[in-house]
Amino acid sequence: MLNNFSLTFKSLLFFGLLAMVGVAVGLVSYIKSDAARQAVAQRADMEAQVADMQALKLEIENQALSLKSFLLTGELSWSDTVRSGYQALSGHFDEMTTQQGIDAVKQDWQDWYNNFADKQLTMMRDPMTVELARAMEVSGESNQHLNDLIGLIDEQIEQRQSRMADLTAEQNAELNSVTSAALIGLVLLIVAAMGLAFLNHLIISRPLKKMVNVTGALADGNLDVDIANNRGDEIGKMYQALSVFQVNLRRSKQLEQDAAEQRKQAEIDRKEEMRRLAAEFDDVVGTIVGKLAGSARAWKRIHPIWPTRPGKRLNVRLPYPRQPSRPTPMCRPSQARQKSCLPRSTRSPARSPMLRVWPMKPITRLS
Amino acid sequence: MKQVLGALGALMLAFGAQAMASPELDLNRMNVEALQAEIDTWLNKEIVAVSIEAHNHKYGNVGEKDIITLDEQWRAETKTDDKPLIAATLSSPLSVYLSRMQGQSVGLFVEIFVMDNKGLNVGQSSVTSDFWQGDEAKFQKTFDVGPDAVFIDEPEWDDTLKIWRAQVNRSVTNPSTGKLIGAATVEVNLTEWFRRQVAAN
Repeated sequence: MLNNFSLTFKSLLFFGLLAMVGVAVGLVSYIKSDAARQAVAQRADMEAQVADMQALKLEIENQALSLKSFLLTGELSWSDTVRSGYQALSGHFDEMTTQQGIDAVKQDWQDWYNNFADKQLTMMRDPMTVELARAMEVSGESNQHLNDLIGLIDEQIEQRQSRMADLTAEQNAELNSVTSAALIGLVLLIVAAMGLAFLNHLIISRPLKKMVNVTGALADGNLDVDIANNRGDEIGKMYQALSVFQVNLRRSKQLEQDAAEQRKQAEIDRKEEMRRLAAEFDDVVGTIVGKLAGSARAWKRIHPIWPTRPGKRLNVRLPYPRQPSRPTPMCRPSQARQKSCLPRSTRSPARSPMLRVWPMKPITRLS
Repeated sequence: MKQVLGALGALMLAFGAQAMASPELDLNRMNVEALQAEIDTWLNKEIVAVSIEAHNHKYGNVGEKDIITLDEQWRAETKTDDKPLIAATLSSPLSVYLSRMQGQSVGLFVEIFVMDNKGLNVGQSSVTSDFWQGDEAKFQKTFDVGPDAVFIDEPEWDDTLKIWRAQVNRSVTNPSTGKLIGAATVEVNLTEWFRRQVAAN
């Protein structure tokens, strides 16, 4: 099925898949990291709130202690500490208005201050009510209220600390997700990369190698190599083009073979013709030679000086259309550069092999 | 025996009549040593020494200008409702102790106050008119004289209460070290003291 898609589409598809794995891992990492960052920010905020609350608790305790010191000693500086503590605490409460549950704490603290501290401070300034102020302290109501207030603050601190613990856990969970995503992404990318390498081998490398073999075989002249395939991609198209080449090559080879056969037939025909001509000629020449031999025997009886040594040339005019001139002898090594002989490398253009062969046979046959 | 009793009764009647009739009082006829001993029973106590020494330490570096400022604050406080300095002094442990001693004396002591080494009030059983006694005879004739100094002021006739009262001023020492640390003023109801002496005899 994959063979019917173009290589561009396939590479886009596979690299797109790879990119999608990367994008997915990146996206998960981003989202989880962002969540972790938010948890860190919230935790820092909670930490600041806890620090504020603890500072507040300390201030209130300090104020209560200053009040007790004033009640015990009558030392006015303690009274001033309590009063200035009220101003400072009011300011701090105003700064913390955004904190959850702070209003209840502020209300409780103001109730304590108005119902006990402030009254006691005032009564401590009159000799007639000093003992009443101390009696109020002894009654323990102020302490009870204060303890409730501190308990309320502790509760708020605990809430924030528990939220902090939650945020830490959340933060850890998010960071763990990032780690997992990174690991899973790594494995996925490795697997995908290996898969892609294998697919690349299956879809591109192997067909290309096969095509190299096919084109090599075609180049070597093996026209019977199998090019048939049903691929729809670029490689398929290349195979189609190759098969056109193959057909053309086959056709030209056929033509070549036909031409060679024709050439061979023509050669055979020519040889046959030559044989026929030679036989015909032999008949003519034989007749002539027979006649000549008869004449010669007759001539010998008349002239006994007729050379009888075999091989001796007989200058005779033959009934042949063109009488070749006497051949120029080949130069001997001692005769170099003489006009009466030919250099060894050259041949007389007039000497045809047929003419050279032809006179020898009847003459040798003569002897 | 009858004679003795009769003489005593006559004496008592005579003295009582004299006391009632005349504000004149002869201090020489009073047993001042016994009165001193009576005062010592509660004045030579650790609470007095501790309080005075703490006060001396607290106001150790205070100059005369600051002392006058404090005295002026005290005087101003006596005229208003807001009395932080008076309230603090009157509610100090020593003041509470002195008030109790005054109460226990069942009318013998009218007013008690203790001063530090500068004459500033440390503890007192009732509100005094000023905070600093350093410029008065009750301090100058006791602390400035020595550890054993006693100065008994002229008795005065209190027409409201119909009693003779006199200020017994004396230096106060630390009972454990014997070191001079301050002074005390005890206002005595001489009429009551004389009555008790007569009753005892």
